Amino acid sequence: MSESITIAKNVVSKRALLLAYGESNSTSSIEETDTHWVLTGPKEQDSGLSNQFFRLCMEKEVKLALEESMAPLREILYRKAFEPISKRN
Amino acid sequence: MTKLPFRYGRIQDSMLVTNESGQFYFLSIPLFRRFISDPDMLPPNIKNDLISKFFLVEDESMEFALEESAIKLRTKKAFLSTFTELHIIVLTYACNSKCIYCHASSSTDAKEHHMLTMATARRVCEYIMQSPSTTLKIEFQGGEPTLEFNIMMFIVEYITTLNVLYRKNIEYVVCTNLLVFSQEHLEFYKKHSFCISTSLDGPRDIHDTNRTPYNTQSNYSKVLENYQKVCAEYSPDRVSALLTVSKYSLPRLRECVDAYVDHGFRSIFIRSLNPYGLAEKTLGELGYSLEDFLAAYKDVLDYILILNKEGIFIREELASIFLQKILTPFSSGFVDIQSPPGAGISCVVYDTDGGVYPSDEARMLARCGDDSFRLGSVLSDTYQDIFLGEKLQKLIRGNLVEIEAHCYGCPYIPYCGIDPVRKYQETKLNVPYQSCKKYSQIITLLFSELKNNPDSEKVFFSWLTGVSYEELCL
Amino acid sequence: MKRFEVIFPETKMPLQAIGKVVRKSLKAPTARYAIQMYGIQRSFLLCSKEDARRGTRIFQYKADPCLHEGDVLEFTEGTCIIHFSSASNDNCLLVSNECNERCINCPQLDRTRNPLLSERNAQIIALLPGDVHTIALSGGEPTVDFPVLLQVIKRLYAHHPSIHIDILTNGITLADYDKATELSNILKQETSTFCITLYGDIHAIHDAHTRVAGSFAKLHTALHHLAYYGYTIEIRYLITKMNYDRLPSFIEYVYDNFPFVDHVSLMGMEVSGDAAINAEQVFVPCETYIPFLLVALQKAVMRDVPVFIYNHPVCLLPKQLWRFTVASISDWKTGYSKLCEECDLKGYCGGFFTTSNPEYIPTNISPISLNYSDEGVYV
Repeated sequence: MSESITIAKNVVSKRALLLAYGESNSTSSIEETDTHWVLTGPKEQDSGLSNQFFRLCMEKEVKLALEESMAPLREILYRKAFEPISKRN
Repeated sequence: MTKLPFRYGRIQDSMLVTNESGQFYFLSIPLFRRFISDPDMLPPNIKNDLISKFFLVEDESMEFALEESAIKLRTKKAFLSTFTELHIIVLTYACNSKCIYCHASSSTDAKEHHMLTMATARRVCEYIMQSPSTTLKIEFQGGEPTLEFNIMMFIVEYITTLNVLYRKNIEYVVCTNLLVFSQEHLEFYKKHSFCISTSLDGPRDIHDTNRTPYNTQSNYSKVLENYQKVCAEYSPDRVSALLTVSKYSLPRLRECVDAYVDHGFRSIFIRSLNPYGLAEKTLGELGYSLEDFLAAYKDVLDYILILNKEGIFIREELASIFLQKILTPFSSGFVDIQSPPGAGISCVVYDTDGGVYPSDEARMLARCGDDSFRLGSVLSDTYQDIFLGEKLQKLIRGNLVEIEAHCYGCPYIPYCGIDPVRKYQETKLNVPYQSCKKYSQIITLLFSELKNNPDSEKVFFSWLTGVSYEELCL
Repeated sequence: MKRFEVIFPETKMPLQAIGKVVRKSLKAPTARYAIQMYGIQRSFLLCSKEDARRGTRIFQYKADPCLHEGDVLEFTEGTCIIHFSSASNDNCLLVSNECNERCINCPQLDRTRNPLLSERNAQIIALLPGDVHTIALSGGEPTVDFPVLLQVIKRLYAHHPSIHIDILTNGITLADYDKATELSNILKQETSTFCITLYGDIHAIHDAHTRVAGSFAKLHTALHHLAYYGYTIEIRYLITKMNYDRLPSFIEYVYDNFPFVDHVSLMGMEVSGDAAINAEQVFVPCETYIPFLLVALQKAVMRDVPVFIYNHPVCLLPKQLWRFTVASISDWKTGYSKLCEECDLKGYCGGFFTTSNPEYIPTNISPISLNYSDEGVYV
């Protein structure tokens, strides 16, 4: 009996979903409706794995949010590090 | 209080945070949550640690913290300021041995005995000297390079002549199986302070299973006979050995380490088989899964740590590459695991036909019929075409861990690097990145040791400083 | 600076008179020193009261100052100051009294500008013995009047081209790239060392000690400038109540951020001047920070960072730390207690600061006995 879970699109973004999907073995297909993702696990799966996958999606969501928030500082840092040094002061 | 750019990942029951310059810190999960949501409320000593390690910054110090972090980042990428320091010259495809896993395109077929001609060698030298780097490391490979000793001597002499003009600091390395080692070779190596890199696959039976006899003598006996000669008449510090792990040695890595220690080696490089290229044919017989390799590696590393703590200095080179990046402000100097990748910008390979490749893997790919990574030829292309051309630039741009999708948010980004040719091969074969799996598990192993065992941290530092474990204990 | 009382001769003396000991005579019951004064042709005599006869060029000492030939002295206001002695471990030229920081533990109280310093230093430099090896430039803050500092260095090289110069500085002036460049053209890299104090691995702690906001950041810039110009740098960490728990992190910080530093010195504190006034905030007894010191030194040894422990009596430290101690207290400030007479390490150990407020002078001194045997020396 294969398990399927439905996640609202406003809870998990597409990017987080794809990142989780890339890392996980517990989902074999994703379908998309206007408002939801529908994930189907492989046969003989129990609901524990679906929850696990959902958690992974949320972890990825957090990671994405953090990385986005750091992007501006990261850019400043790389510019500072690699722009030509003229005068130090 | 602001957070500076960082990445995170779980190690056992803690959260590891790493920043752009490779500094790291362990936080418990509750403290990590507070670090994310409300860093001001962290306990003072933890908060100060995070400020000291450039994870947190008081708002009034932002300018300073960015400036200092930039300097540290530049230090980590200092290898970029020297362009093409390592030059690998393939002297010949002929070899006087036949190792069961050989990927270096050796062949006993007469047609395939390509060798570097003097004329091509001369051009190769001229291109090498055009490198803007003030230090050059020239490495001779093959097949077995000592079979073309005259060409090696010619190259060294010609480079020495050219160097009167260029005045660079030049080091030489020869990658040899040490089956042939004459007095002439010895004098030559001594005169030019060569480093000798050789292979020792373990104790006698393993080594001789992997490598064919030399005439009637066991390969192992011959190699050790010559190795003793090098130690006695030249210097043990100038010889290093690496171990290529085959199916036969995988379950017996501890014995291999013992063999190294018994023969006075101070370092061992535990290399897994290259699963692609010419070795692909024999992989079925010799190969092992990555999981098996990692389990064996973990076991032998534990053993190596025990030996060090008992007073035997033996450094594992693969671990040391990552440890140098984790524990010091510097990069590791190992061009295959760095970002931007060393291919073509830190390391260059010159084939017997004058072809220029960004790595040895790229050259071997060409031997299999795919010249996607060939940058040109010293016989027909200009230095600018080869080194400043779009092909190399595209290669570098497309292989940065900092922007690679697969690497997104990985805390090991500061310590890792992509091998462009491996990635290309694995993408074609549609397999997941084996190197990522391998490196990330090894790095996780090292961080676990650092977190749990202060003694292991001492051993790791002893590898980086060269000072023995006992001397590092207060 | 070591000083001793003198009775001046009856002639009119300049406000500060610099001279050097040209001859020491022990023939008489008490020592006599012949002094050559800068700019004055006739020589002077320094001798005991009993030995003195009426004369126009005789200084009288109350107690024999035990001078040596070649010592450079300054006679001023009833005192004689020894500016240079070849027998001393701490020859220092005060380049400026003023400072651009206000360290909470500063032992020096007089920070008013002294207009006579320049001339005095010029004279001292002229009188230094020909074989002088090292001199330290200090203050206050020697870089505060930058042209004067450069002048002093040039003058030193004019008389002694291969002299080694130690510069004891807080470094922040050298955050100015132009100044660092100027200095790099004058101060020789091969024969100089910068001794720079860092009070902590985070700005809040460092700036709390220097009491100047932004000094931590400036210090970083200065260190990078000095490294850029190839100078030898010693970083000093003064152990106080406000920073002793950061000792281990400090070592890591120096290694991670200033890997070009030559060595690190961990300093015990002299509790005098501002340090005495602020003792409540800055003084921490040795026993409290020993655990942190041990961890810090382990971290330093692991990373192959050379570390020295200055200004600590050896007996107050655990055995594993003895090999890092240096007898570093200026010889004239050094004191030993009566118990030290029995100690086998008295010659090696630097004792403690006699200039510290008496209540902060350590009382748990315990002499060490070494056992000599064929296999080695044990405690």
